[in-house]
Amino acid sequence: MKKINRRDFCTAALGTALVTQVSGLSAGTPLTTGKEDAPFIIDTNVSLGNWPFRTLKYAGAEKLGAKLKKHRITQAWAGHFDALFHKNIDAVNEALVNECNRFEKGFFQPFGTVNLAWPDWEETLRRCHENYKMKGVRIYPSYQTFNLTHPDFPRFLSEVTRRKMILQIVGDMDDSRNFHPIVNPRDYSLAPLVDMLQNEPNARVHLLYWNVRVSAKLLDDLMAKTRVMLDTARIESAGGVEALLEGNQNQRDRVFSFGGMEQTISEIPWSRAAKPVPADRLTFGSHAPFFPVENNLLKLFESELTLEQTRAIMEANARKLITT
Amino acid sequence: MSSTEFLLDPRLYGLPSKEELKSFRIWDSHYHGFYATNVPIKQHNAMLHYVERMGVERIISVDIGGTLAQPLEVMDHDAAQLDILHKLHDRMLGIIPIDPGFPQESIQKMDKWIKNGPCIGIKYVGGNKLGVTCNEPQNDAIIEHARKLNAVIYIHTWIKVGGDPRRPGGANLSGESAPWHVVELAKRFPDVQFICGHAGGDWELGVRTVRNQENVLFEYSGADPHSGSVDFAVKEIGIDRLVWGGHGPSRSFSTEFSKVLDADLTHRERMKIFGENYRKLCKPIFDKKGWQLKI
Repeated sequence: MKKINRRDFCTAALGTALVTQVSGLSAGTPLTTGKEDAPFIIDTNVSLGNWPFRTLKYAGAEKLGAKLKKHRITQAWAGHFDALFHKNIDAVNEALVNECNRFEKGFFQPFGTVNLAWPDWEETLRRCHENYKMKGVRIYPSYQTFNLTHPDFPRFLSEVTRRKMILQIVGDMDDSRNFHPIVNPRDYSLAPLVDMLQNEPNARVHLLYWNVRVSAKLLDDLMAKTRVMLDTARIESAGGVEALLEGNQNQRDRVFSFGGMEQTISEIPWSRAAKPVPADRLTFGSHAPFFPVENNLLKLFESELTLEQTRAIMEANARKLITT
Repeated sequence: MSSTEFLLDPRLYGLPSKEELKSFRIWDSHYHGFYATNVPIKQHNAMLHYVERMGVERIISVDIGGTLAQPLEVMDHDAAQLDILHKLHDRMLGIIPIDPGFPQESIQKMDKWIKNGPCIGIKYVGGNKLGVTCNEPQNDAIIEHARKLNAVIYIHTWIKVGGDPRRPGGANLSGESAPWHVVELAKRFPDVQFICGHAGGDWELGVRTVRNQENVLFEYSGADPHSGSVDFAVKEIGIDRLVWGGHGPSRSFSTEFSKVLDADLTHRERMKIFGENYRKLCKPIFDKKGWQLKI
């Protein structure tokens, strides 16, 4: 059997010219090592409280805050797991604020929730903004039993925009294949956003764990016709972030098409048929403490991003979104 | 410029450096680079960039010969796969999909690719034409033959919620095994080791199912990464029964690495999950083939 070393392996995969470039580097040495060049991170998708079906390892502001800080994260936008199921969401929002305040001041930014399926959502939104000074709200339509065609949704979107708040819309929280059997979150579509946002050009809408609900066509429309932002939490596949940034136009050598009986919706690399997503539309989102923080951090290393793209995704885009 | 090196120092972000990743001696026991309907070789070639970039020492393709949907069919790309397995032997191994609905044909494929070829094991895929799960009696001939060859046995398992009434496993495909099927099979072959793949898709139920069956190893790839999942498996099953898979390209290496990095483990323990346990599993077939292997 012919022996093959790492260099030969790389040659087989990438071609001789590239290996010549790579071999000029000492093994394992980052191309840029300076701490001063390394961006800090704003995590735009974390949750406090506890998942009702599992005791999470890093649940709660103190444990989660300490964990996030170990990973160069300096700010985290936090929802609360109780927002998915509680009817008294005013109490949930108050608890969220109190929980955020248990950690270093300003580290957790509370994103309360508003449920259009419950009466008097207007007052809940008012409290989030005026009483708690929240920068945004987070909704979970599949759990909160409404969808974006709810008759109040346009008015809700308008009111959030008028208050200059961010609206985070959660596509999913988990893989539907392993839900607890007693839970069956509703299907819903993000497609109505395309038309609705034509009427609300100043709306700041941010999609979290959005991927399973966004087809390539919808992704193209959202990028071309709206200013919707996306988090990284569920961007999957090898080099998934850079594939998203490249879109289909540069996929000549990175095919990743799938077929066969194992194919499921969560495994379809949706991004491959889409146009490039600009780097200024992505924010870092860990979905911690449900997902390991390491997951989304590593994606930014697995994908071959420029420093400018990395900085935008890690911090700059989120900072712009929250301060604009 | 395309590079296999990182732009920033991962240690600034609480992540392993490239050198540390390499020091884990990562063997990806669930490499799907060839899993593509039309262009398996092209996809595989593209995937190798990420294999190299993420410091993976060796990949074990689970799609050698045929396809997952048609595991017993001879495909145009079979010859190219064979060539790749020979040329990249020190970086790449292969296991072959079989179909328990057709035991004799599966055994013939095992002889072609394992006994007389470069492959080291078999894979039960996620469903099959005749709806035969791995616990059914006709599997015994396949397992007995695998035992003779010292072949690695990987069984795709999932516990998909669904059905009426809604229940774990109620939405499994026809012939798609669940961890309890693996346990039933493993009880009949206590001297053979089995990999329960994908942690059953539902690791909390999967761990409970296999924890008392000591000849069943547990592999986590292909499902969303849940913080605390590997901690739980280590506590209930033990560090020596866990093996690691990448499931790329449909899953990122980042997703699968993070399951292990999230766990409270020493470097040495991570080495076991990332590669050492799998190397021990395939040592007998390496010896049979006269191949060198540093555990």
